[in-house]
Amino acid sequence: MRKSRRETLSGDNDSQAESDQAIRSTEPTPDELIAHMETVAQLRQLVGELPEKDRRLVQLKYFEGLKYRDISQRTGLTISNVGFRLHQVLKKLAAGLLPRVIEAGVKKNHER
Amino acid sequence: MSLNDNSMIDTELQVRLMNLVMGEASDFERDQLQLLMEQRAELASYYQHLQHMHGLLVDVGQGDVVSDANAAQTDDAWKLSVDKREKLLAVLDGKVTAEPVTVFACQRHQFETRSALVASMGNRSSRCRCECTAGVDADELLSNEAVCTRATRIPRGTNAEIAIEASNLRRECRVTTRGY
Repeated sequence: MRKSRRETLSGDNDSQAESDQAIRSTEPTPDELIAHMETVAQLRQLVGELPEKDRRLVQLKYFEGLKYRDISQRTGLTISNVGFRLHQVLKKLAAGLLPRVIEAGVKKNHER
Repeated sequence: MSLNDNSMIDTELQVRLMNLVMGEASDFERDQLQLLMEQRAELASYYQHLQHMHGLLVDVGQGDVVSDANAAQTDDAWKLSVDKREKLLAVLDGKVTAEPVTVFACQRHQFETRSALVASMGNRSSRCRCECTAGVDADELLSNEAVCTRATRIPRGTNAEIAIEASNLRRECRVTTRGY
Protein backbone atom coordinates (compact mmCIF):
# COMPACT_ATOMS: atom_id res chain seq x y z
CA MET A 1 0.00 0.00 0.00
CA ARG A 2 2.79 2.35 0.93
CA LYS A 3 4.71 1.56 -2.20
CA SER A 4 1.77 1.93 -4.57
CA ARG A 5 0.88 5.29 -3.15
CA ARG A 6 4.44 6.51 -3.49
CA GLU A 7 4.44 5.44 -7.13
CA THR A 8 1.23 7.32 -7.73
CA LEU A 9 2.59 10.41 -6.07
CA SER A 10 5.82 10.34 -8.04
CA GLY A 11 4.12 9.58 -11.34
CA ASP A 12 1.12 11.29 -12.92
CA ASN A 13 0.71 13.69 -10.07
CA ASP A 14 4.11 15.28 -10.53
CA SER A 15 2.88 17.94 -12.90
CA GLN A 16 -0.15 18.52 -10.71
CA ALA A 17 2.08 18.88 -7.68
CA GLU A 18 4.29 21.34 -9.51
CA SER A 19 1.22 23.26 -10.57
CA ASP A 20 -0.09 23.32 -7.01
CA GLN A 21 3.30 24.48 -5.79
CA ALA A 22 3.30 27.27 -8.35
CA ILE A 23 -0.14 28.37 -7.22
CA ARG A 24 0.87 28.27 -3.56
CA SER A 25 3.93 30.39 -4.25
CA THR A 26 1.74 33.19 -5.61
CA GLU A 27 -0.80 33.01 -2.83
CA PRO A 28 -0.47 35.71 -0.20
CA THR A 29 0.72 34.63 3.22
CA PRO A 30 -1.50 35.27 6.27
CA ASP A 31 0.76 38.20 7.18
CA GLU A 32 0.36 39.68 3.73
CA LEU A 33 -3.39 39.23 3.87
CA ILE A 34 -3.60 40.97 7.23
CA ALA A 35 -1.35 43.79 6.02
CA HIS A 36 -3.52 44.21 2.93
CA MET A 37 -6.71 44.29 4.98
CA GLU A 38 -5.21 46.88 7.29
CA THR A 39 -4.12 49.00 4.34
CA VAL A 40 -7.58 48.85 2.78
CA ALA A 41 -9.15 49.78 6.14
CA GLN A 42 -6.74 52.68 6.50
CA LEU A 43 -7.46 53.81 2.96
CA ARG A 44 -11.18 53.57 3.59
CA GLN A 45 -10.77 55.86 6.55
CA LEU A 46 -8.75 58.32 4.46
CA VAL A 47 -11.50 58.32 1.81
CA GLY A 48 -13.97 59.22 4.55
CA GLU A 49 -11.81 62.18 5.49
CA LEU A 50 -11.63 63.58 1.95
CA PRO A 51 -13.44 66.80 1.08
CA GLU A 52 -16.98 66.17 -0.14
CA LYS A 53 -16.19 66.75 -3.83
CA ASP A 54 -13.21 64.41 -3.82
CA ARG A 55 -15.08 61.75 -1.88
CA ARG A 56 -17.90 62.00 -4.40
CA LEU A 57 -15.45 61.35 -7.22
CA VAL A 58 -14.07 58.27 -5.46
CA GLN A 59 -17.56 56.97 -4.85
CA LEU A 60 -18.59 57.42 -8.47
CA LYS A 61 -15.43 55.77 -9.75
CA TYR A 62 -14.81 52.98 -7.27
CA PHE A 63 -18.16 52.27 -5.65
CA GLU A 64 -20.33 52.77 -8.73
CA GLY A 65 -17.67 51.85 -11.29
CA LEU A 66 -18.48 54.71 -13.66
CA LYS A 67 -16.35 55.77 -16.62
CA TYR A 68 -14.96 59.30 -16.89
CA ARG A 69 -17.76 60.24 -19.31
CA ASP A 70 -20.49 59.22 -16.85
CA ILE A 71 -18.72 60.89 -13.94
CA SER A 72 -18.48 64.03 -16.04
CA GLN A 73 -22.23 64.00 -16.59
CA ARG A 74 -22.94 63.41 -12.91
CA THR A 75 -20.58 66.07 -11.60
CA GLY A 76 -20.46 68.71 -14.32
CA LEU A 77 -16.69 68.42 -14.56
CA THR A 78 -15.11 68.07 -17.99
CA ILE A 79 -13.88 64.57 -18.85
CA SER A 80 -10.26 65.69 -18.72
CA ASN A 81 -10.89 67.33 -15.37
CA VAL A 82 -12.30 64.11 -14.00
CA GLY A 83 -9.01 62.37 -14.76
CA PHE A 84 -7.00 65.26 -13.37
CA ARG A 85 -9.02 65.43 -10.15
CA LEU A 86 -8.95 61.66 -9.61
CA HIS A 87 -5.21 61.72 -10.11
CA GLN A 88 -4.90 64.40 -7.44
CA VAL A 89 -7.10 62.36 -5.12
CA LEU A 90 -4.98 59.24 -5.58
CA LYS A 91 -1.85 61.21 -4.80
CA LYS A 92 -3.46 62.66 -1.70
CA LEU A 93 -4.57 59.24 -0.50
CA ALA A 94 -1.15 57.76 -1.22
CA ALA A 95 0.45 60.49 0.85
CA GLY A 96 -1.86 59.56 3.71
CA LEU A 97 -0.91 55.92 3.69
CA LEU A 98 2.25 54.76 5.32
CA PRO A 99 4.96 54.93 2.66
CA ARG A 100 6.30 51.54 3.69
CA VAL A 101 2.89 50.01 2.99
CA ILE A 102 2.89 51.38 -0.53
CA GLU A 103 6.46 50.35 -1.17
CA ALA A 104 5.80 46.83 0.13
CA GLY A 105 2.74 46.47 -2.06
CA VAL A 106 4.44 47.71 -5.19
CA LYS A 107 7.42 45.46 -4.56
CA LYS A 108 5.14 42.47 -4.09
CA ASN A 109 3.20 43.22 -7.28
CA HIS A 110 6.43 43.70 -9.18
CA GLU A 111 7.72 40.30 -8.01
CA ARG A 112 4.57 38.67 -9.38
CA MET B 1 9.77 56.90 -6.32
CA SER B 2 6.22 57.28 -5.04
CA LEU B 3 3.16 59.13 -6.32
CA ASN B 4 4.29 62.22 -4.44
CA ASP B 5 7.95 62.07 -5.38
CA ASN B 6 7.79 62.55 -9.11
CA SER B 7 9.54 65.77 -10.03
CA MET B 8 11.01 64.05 -13.09
CA ILE B 9 7.56 63.49 -14.62
CA ASP B 10 5.49 66.40 -15.83
CA THR B 11 1.90 66.62 -14.68
CA GLU B 12 0.40 65.97 -18.09
CA LEU B 13 2.29 62.69 -18.39
CA GLN B 14 1.23 61.69 -14.88
CA VAL B 15 -2.42 62.22 -15.81
CA ARG B 16 -1.97 60.26 -19.03
CA LEU B 17 -0.59 57.34 -17.02
CA MET B 18 -3.48 57.72 -14.60
CA ASN B 19 -5.92 57.49 -17.52
CA LEU B 20 -4.16 54.34 -18.68
CA VAL B 21 -4.55 52.75 -15.25
CA MET B 22 -8.22 53.73 -15.21
CA GLY B 23 -8.80 52.08 -18.59
CA GLU B 24 -9.62 55.40 -20.20
CA ALA B 25 -6.73 55.54 -22.66
CA SER B 26 -7.21 54.73 -26.34
CA ASP B 27 -5.26 51.88 -27.94
CA PHE B 28 -2.98 54.41 -29.62
CA GLU B 29 -2.40 56.25 -26.36
CA ARG B 30 -1.75 52.96 -24.56
CA ASP B 31 0.90 51.99 -27.13
CA GLN B 32 2.54 55.39 -26.86
CA LEU B 33 2.70 55.22 -23.09
CA GLN B 34 4.03 51.68 -23.05
CA LEU B 35 6.78 52.75 -25.41
CA LEU B 36 7.63 55.64 -23.12
CA MET B 37 7.68 53.37 -20.09
CA GLU B 38 10.13 51.06 -21.82
CA GLN B 39 12.40 54.02 -22.38
CA ARG B 40 12.01 55.68 -18.98
CA ALA B 41 12.13 53.53 -15.87
CA GLU B 42 10.68 56.29 -13.68
CA LEU B 43 7.50 56.23 -15.75
CA ALA B 44 7.13 52.49 -15.30
CA SER B 45 7.68 52.89 -11.56
CA TYR B 46 5.10 55.67 -11.36
CA TYR B 47 2.65 53.53 -13.34
CA GLN B 48 3.14 50.65 -10.89
CA HIS B 49 2.42 52.93 -7.94
CA LEU B 50 -0.73 54.17 -9.63
CA GLN B 51 -1.81 50.61 -10.33
CA HIS B 52 -1.23 49.64 -6.71
CA MET B 53 -3.27 52.56 -5.36
CA HIS B 54 -5.97 51.86 -7.93
CA GLY B 55 -6.11 48.20 -6.83
CA LEU B 56 -6.43 49.20 -3.19
CA LEU B 57 -9.26 51.58 -4.01
CA VAL B 58 -11.02 48.88 -6.01
CA ASP B 59 -10.92 46.78 -2.82
CA VAL B 60 -12.22 49.73 -0.82
CA GLY B 61 -15.03 50.11 -3.35
CA GLN B 62 -16.14 46.53 -2.77
CA GLY B 63 -17.26 47.48 0.73
CA ASP B 64 -20.06 49.76 1.83
CA VAL B 65 -20.09 53.32 0.57
CA VAL B 66 -18.05 55.68 2.73
CA SER B 67 -20.24 58.67 3.50
CA ASP B 68 -18.01 60.73 5.72
CA ALA B 69 -15.22 60.53 8.25
CA ASN B 70 -17.59 59.78 11.13
CA ALA B 71 -18.94 56.78 9.28
CA ALA B 72 -15.44 55.56 8.66
CA GLN B 73 -14.61 55.87 12.34
CA THR B 74 -17.39 53.45 13.23
CA ASP B 75 -15.33 50.77 11.52
CA ASP B 76 -12.83 51.04 14.36
CA ALA B 77 -15.25 49.04 16.45
CA TRP B 78 -14.50 46.08 14.21
CA LYS B 79 -10.76 46.30 14.63
CA LEU B 80 -9.03 43.95 17.02
CA SER B 81 -7.34 45.48 20.00
CA VAL B 82 -3.55 45.59 19.89
CA ASP B 83 -3.38 42.79 22.47
CA LYS B 84 -5.74 40.49 20.57
CA ARG B 85 -4.09 41.30 17.28
CA GLU B 86 -0.66 40.33 18.65
CA LYS B 87 -2.08 37.06 19.97
CA LEU B 88 -3.62 36.31 16.57
CA LEU B 89 -0.38 37.10 14.77
CA ALA B 90 1.50 34.88 17.21
CA VAL B 91 -0.80 31.99 16.34
CA LEU B 92 -0.38 32.61 12.62
CA ASP B 93 3.39 32.77 13.06
CA GLY B 94 3.43 29.54 15.03
CA LYS B 95 4.89 31.29 18.06
CA VAL B 96 2.21 30.18 20.48
CA THR B 97 3.63 28.95 23.77
CA ALA B 98 0.38 28.02 25.41
CA GLU B 99 -0.27 24.64 26.97
CA PRO B 100 -0.62 21.82 24.45
CA VAL B 101 -4.13 21.18 23.28
CA THR B 102 -5.31 17.63 22.84
CA VAL B 103 -6.72 16.94 19.42
CA PHE B 104 -7.56 13.99 17.24
CA ALA B 105 -9.08 12.29 20.27
CA CYS B 106 -11.41 10.12 18.21
CA GLN B 107 -9.59 10.14 14.92
CA ARG B 108 -7.50 7.43 13.41
CA HIS B 109 -4.40 8.23 11.44
CA GLN B 110 -2.32 5.85 9.43
CA PHE B 111 1.35 6.63 9.10
CA GLU B 112 3.20 6.00 5.92
CA THR B 113 6.17 8.22 6.48
CA ARG B 114 7.93 9.69 9.43
CA SER B 115 6.73 13.14 8.54
CA ALA B 116 3.18 11.85 8.32
CA LEU B 117 3.56 10.46 11.80
CA VAL B 118 4.72 13.81 13.07
CA ALA B 119 2.00 15.61 11.18
CA SER B 120 -0.62 13.32 12.59
CA MET B 121 0.54 14.27 16.04
CA GLY B 122 -0.43 17.82 15.34
CA ASN B 123 2.83 19.40 14.37
CA ARG B 124 2.04 20.70 10.92
CA SER B 125 5.56 21.71 10.10
CA SER B 126 7.05 19.51 7.40
CA ARG B 127 10.48 20.20 8.86
CA CYS B 128 10.37 18.12 11.97
CA ARG B 129 12.72 15.80 13.74
CA CYS B 130 11.14 12.90 15.54
CA GLU B 131 13.04 11.04 18.25
CA CYS B 132 11.73 8.23 20.34
CA THR B 133 12.53 8.61 24.04
CA ALA B 134 10.55 5.72 25.45
CA GLY B 135 8.32 2.91 24.38
CA VAL B 136 8.71 1.97 20.75
CA ASP B 137 10.75 3.58 18.04
CA ALA B 138 9.01 5.68 15.45
CA ASP B 139 10.37 3.40 12.76
CA GLU B 140 8.74 0.48 14.52
CA LEU B 141 5.46 2.31 14.37
CA LEU B 142 5.96 2.89 10.68
CA SER B 143 6.98 -0.65 9.89
CA ASN B 144 3.87 -1.93 11.63
CA GLU B 145 1.54 0.38 9.73
CA ALA B 146 0.62 1.84 13.08
CA VAL B 147 -2.72 3.45 13.56
CA CYS B 148 -2.71 6.35 15.93
CA THR B 149 -5.69 6.51 18.20
CA ARG B 150 -4.58 9.29 20.49
CA ALA B 151 -2.13 12.14 20.10
CA THR B 152 -1.40 15.47 21.65
CA ARG B 153 -0.92 18.60 19.64
CA ILE B 154 2.02 20.85 20.34
CA PRO B 155 2.74 24.34 19.01
CA ARG B 156 5.07 24.47 16.06
CA GLY B 157 8.62 25.36 16.94
CA THR B 158 8.52 23.94 20.43
CA ASN B 159 9.82 20.78 22.03
CA ALA B 160 7.45 18.50 23.80
CA GLU B 161 6.92 14.91 24.66
CA ILE B 162 3.91 13.45 23.00
CA ALA B 163 2.10 10.35 24.09
CA ILE B 164 0.72 8.34 21.23
CA GLU B 165 -1.09 5.08 21.40
CA ALA B 166 -0.79 2.69 18.52
CA SER B 167 -3.71 0.34 18.38
CA ASN B 168 -1.87 -2.48 16.69
CA LEU B 169 1.02 -2.35 19.13
CA ARG B 170 -1.25 -2.26 22.14
CA ARG B 171 1.13 -0.12 24.07
CA GLU B 172 2.05 3.46 24.54
CA CYS B 173 5.24 5.20 23.58
CA ARG B 174 6.63 8.64 24.01
CA VAL B 175 8.14 10.54 21.12
CA THR B 176 9.83 13.87 21.15
CA THR B 177 9.35 16.06 18.14
CA ARG B 178 11.18 19.23 17.33
CA GLY B 179 9.61 21.57 14.83
CA TYR B 180 11.94 24.08 13.28
